[in-house]
Amino acid sequence: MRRRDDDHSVRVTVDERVLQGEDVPGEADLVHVVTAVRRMVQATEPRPHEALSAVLREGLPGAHLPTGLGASDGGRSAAPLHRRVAGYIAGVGVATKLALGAGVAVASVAGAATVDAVPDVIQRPAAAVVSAVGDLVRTVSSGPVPGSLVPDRSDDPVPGTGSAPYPTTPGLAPRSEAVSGGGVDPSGAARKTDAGALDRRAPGSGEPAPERVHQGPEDQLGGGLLDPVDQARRASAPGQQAVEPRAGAAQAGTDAPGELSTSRAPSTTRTPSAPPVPPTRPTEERHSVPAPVPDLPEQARSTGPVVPRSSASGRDDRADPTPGPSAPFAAPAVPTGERPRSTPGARVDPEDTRHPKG
Amino acid sequence: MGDDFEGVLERARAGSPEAFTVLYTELSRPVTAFLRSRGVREVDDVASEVFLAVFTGIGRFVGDEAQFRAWVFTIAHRRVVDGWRRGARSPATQPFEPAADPRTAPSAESQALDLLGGRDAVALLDRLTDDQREVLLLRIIGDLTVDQVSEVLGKRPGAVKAAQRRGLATLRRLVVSEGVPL
Repeated sequence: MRRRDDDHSVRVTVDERVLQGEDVPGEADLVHVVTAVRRMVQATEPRPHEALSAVLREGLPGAHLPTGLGASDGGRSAAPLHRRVAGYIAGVGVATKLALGAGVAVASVAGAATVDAVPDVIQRPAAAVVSAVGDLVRTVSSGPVPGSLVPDRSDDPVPGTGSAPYPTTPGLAPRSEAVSGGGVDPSGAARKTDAGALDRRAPGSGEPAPERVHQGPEDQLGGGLLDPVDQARRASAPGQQAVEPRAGAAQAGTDAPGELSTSRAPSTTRTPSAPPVPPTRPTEERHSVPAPVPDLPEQARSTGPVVPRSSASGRDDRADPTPGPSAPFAAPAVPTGERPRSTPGARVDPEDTRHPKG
Repeated sequence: MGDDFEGVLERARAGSPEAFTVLYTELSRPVTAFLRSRGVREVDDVASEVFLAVFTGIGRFVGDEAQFRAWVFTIAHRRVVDGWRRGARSPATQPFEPAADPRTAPSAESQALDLLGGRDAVALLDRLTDDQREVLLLRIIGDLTVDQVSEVLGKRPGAVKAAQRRGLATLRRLVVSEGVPL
C-alpha cells in the first residue's frame, strides 16, 4: 500500500471519524473521550499578561503597512515619510543639526550665485558673498602671513610653550637632574659615586639636606662633642658640612652599633672615584663635595656608635655610666670629649649577651 | 475567520490591534487547552508568550488560515518543549498530594477540567506515550490534519499516522477494559 493510500485509508477509517467527534457505532466510549478533550477548548479565555495586553490594546508600533493595499493607503504612506524625516532630524545630535543647517545655507547661497535662473537682485549679493568667502579661503590657505604668527608666540606668557625647544627657566633643568640623580648617567655610576646626592636624602625620607644636617650624629652627640677639626671643617666648607655628617648618619645613625662596620661597609663602594659629570649638571652639587673616600670610614670610626639621647628625660645617655633599660644596646659610657673606640671589641660589651654579634 | 482571514492577516502585519484581537480570540482557547493538556503549569503566561511571539513574527508568515493555525501550534509546541527543558534543569519538586492541600477552593484550571469532564480525559491521555498524546491532542484540540501535525512535530506523516493509530487503540482498550467513566 502506498503512502497516499494509507493516508486516505486513515482518513476514511473509523479512527478519523472518531477524531472528528462523529458518532461511530461501537466506538461510543472512545467518542466520549474525544468529545471531552475537545470540550477543553471551550474553557475560559486566558488572561493575557501585560506585554500582550499592550499589544492587543495599542498594536505593534514597529509594524509597517504593506504596499498596494488600496487607494485609502496612499494618504497613509505619505504621512510616515514625513514622520520618518522629522524623526530622523529630531534624532540626530546638535552638531549634526548645525552642520546640516550650515550645509544647506552654503548650498543655497552658492546655488543662488551660480544659477542663471535666479534674478539679479538675489544673485548679485549671493555672488558677492561667495567671492568674499572665496578670497578669504584663498588667503588663509596660501600660508602664514610674515610677522603675524611670530609676535603671537613671543607674547606667549606661558614659558615653555613658545618656539624654544627647551625650557629657559634656570631652575628647571638642574632640578630635574637633581631629582633624577643618577638617572642622567645611564650606568648609574653618578648615583653611586656622588656622595652628596646620596647623603642629601635620608633612606626613604626625601628630606632636604639642610634639615638633615642638624640631625647628624654630631648633633645627636651634642655640640660640645664635636671635634674641633670637624667644626673648623664645617665653618670652612658648608657644602662639606652637609655631606660628611650625613655619611656618618647614614651609617651610624641608622644601624645598631655592632652592625656598623660589618653590615654595611658602604663608603668604600660609594665613592671610589669621581664620575664623569655631564656638562649640563651644576657643578655646585657634584664638585663642592670632595667625597673623601678614605675619610668616610675614618669618620665613621671617629664618630663611633651612635648613642641615642633619651628623649623622655632629655639627658645624655652617654653620660650615664650604666645604660638604662631604654637603651639596651647603648655603647658603654664615654667620658665627655672622648670618642669611643671604633673597634668592634671596644663597642660590644662582653657581658651583654643580648648584643647581636656583628 | 473564513474568507476574511487574508484581510485580518494584512492588518495584523500592519500592527493593527484589532486584527491581533481577532486572531487572539480565535486561537487563544485551543492553544490554552493544548498547553494545559500538555501539563504546562503557568498556562496563561505561556499562552501570552506564544501569542506575543506570533504577533511579533507575523510579518514573516506566508500562508492561509490552516497554515497559520499550524504555525501558531508549532510555536506553542516549541514553548512546551522549552518548558520541559527548563523543568529538567530546575530542582525536583514535591508531587502534589490533594489530601495535604489546605486550599478549599479549586483552581480555575481544575474547575474547568472538572466542569467539562476534561480531567478524566487528560488522565487517559497521560497514559499514552508522548508522541501519541501529542499527535492526538494536536489533531483533536488543534484541529490539524496529519500533514500539519507532521509539520508541527517535525516528523514524517507516516510516523504521525502510526502514533495516532496506536494512541487511539490504547484509549479504546483502556475505556473498554478498565471502564473509565467520562
